[in-house]
Amino acid sequence: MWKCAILLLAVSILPSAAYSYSITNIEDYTSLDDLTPFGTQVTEKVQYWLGTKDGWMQEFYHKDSSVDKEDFGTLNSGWQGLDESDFHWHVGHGLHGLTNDGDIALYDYSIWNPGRKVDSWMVEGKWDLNNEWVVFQSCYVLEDPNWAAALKYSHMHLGFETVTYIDPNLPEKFFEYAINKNWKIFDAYKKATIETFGGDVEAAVYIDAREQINDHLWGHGYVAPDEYPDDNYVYHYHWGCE
Amino acid sequence: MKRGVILLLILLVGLSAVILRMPNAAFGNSFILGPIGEIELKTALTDSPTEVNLYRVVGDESIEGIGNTSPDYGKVRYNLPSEEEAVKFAIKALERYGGLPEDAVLSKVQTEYAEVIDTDTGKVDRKPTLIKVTFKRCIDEMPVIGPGGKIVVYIGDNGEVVDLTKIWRKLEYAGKVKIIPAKEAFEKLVKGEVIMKPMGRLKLKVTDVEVGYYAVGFGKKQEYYTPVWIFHCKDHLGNNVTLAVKAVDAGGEDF
Repeated sequence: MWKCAILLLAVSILPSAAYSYSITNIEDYTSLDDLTPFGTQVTEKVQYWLGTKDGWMQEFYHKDSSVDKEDFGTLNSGWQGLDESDFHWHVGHGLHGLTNDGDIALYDYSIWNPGRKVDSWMVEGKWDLNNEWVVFQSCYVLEDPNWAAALKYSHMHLGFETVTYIDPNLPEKFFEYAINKNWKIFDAYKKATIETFGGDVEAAVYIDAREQINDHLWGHGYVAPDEYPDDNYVYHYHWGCE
Repeated sequence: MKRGVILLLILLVGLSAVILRMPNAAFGNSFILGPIGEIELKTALTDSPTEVNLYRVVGDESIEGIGNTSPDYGKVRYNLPSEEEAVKFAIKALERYGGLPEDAVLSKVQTEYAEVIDTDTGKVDRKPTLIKVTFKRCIDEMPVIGPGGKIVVYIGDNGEVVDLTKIWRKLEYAGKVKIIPAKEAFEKLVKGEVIMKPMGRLKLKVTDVEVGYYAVGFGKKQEYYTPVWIFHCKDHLGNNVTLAVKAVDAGGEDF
């Protein structure tokens, strides 16, 4: 009980700059269709809402060829990519097909260069440092349920199980609900996807512990504790955006 | 030796390009590689219509929600009504906001679930959370696609309205407009000239083509409902993918 009180007190007095976010944006591909300038527009929305408006610190922003596997938290020591920040937003192509089951394409991925991708097995049990929430704005990635295995102490992984479309309105609406209206992260994401996409888009969220569905962004309400010790249960929600 | 390998590679790439553009004898159709991915036409492209009605946006009847608090979409609910009853509750809820529009059609009713997954055994335990009732807009018997032109009502325990989203613009007839043939629209699709860009390399079978309108979502201005050729596709997983190509050669106008 007293631990909760201290946590609540700490959350209420900590300045926003104590919270951090990171962004990976791949919009210029050597082989896949370019997503310019929309990846940058998505980035600017995230930077505006979390950085300018809410005062969070940008841990890193990597773009195109500077985005690499380590940015996604594939390492468990040294610099740990997205696991260094509280909130991470990735925008770029997802892969699904004969040789891919829901992977992130790096800028130089091609059939001739098939290893240039991030697969869920690379991050199994590895999001355990500072991260709470990860958004992958990419096609098909959460079709692979194994991404949930990354959530050791991270709380939530938000993304899509089907096709999705590049639209800066997604972060705009998401943060409008999560920051301006202080909605829970899960609710803000669900509402934003419904308002942004049509019926062919299936959005999805994996949550590490039941209580974490009530998470708000830091400074905007209750945040559940990390799941400790990590168990073998995850909570899965998915919906059509019609 | 090296030169031989390079020549062989060039030959292979050239051959692949020719084969991918060749009619597929088995289906009488063709695979085409474009920026979106691999597209296979599995339906005929019609010559009609050649023109459609144009509708100007003259107002907004949208509703962004019923309250300011988080709707608790993910809460497990055990007293949900039947899906049939949920439709009645949704229509009743809309009475407060001017009723169900005349050009709205019931599109989908679906119970949503929270799934608890045991990652060791793969066992999934599903618990109901909400019933979603969706109405879509239909103009001149043509569908409206995109995030606009829809009403989504979430029904909770005992018929409670948990959330309501209505993206609905007031329209005014603005005359007729000529549209490009479906064949030309398909060529644009292949070139990746679609209204919304997919975020993956897709493998699609086009199963149906029709004319309709594209409506944008909240926060975006739209002077006219955009006439579009709608390509109804199936991806490699059998999921629906709906791609839209502008049907009017606008010449600077915001169609």
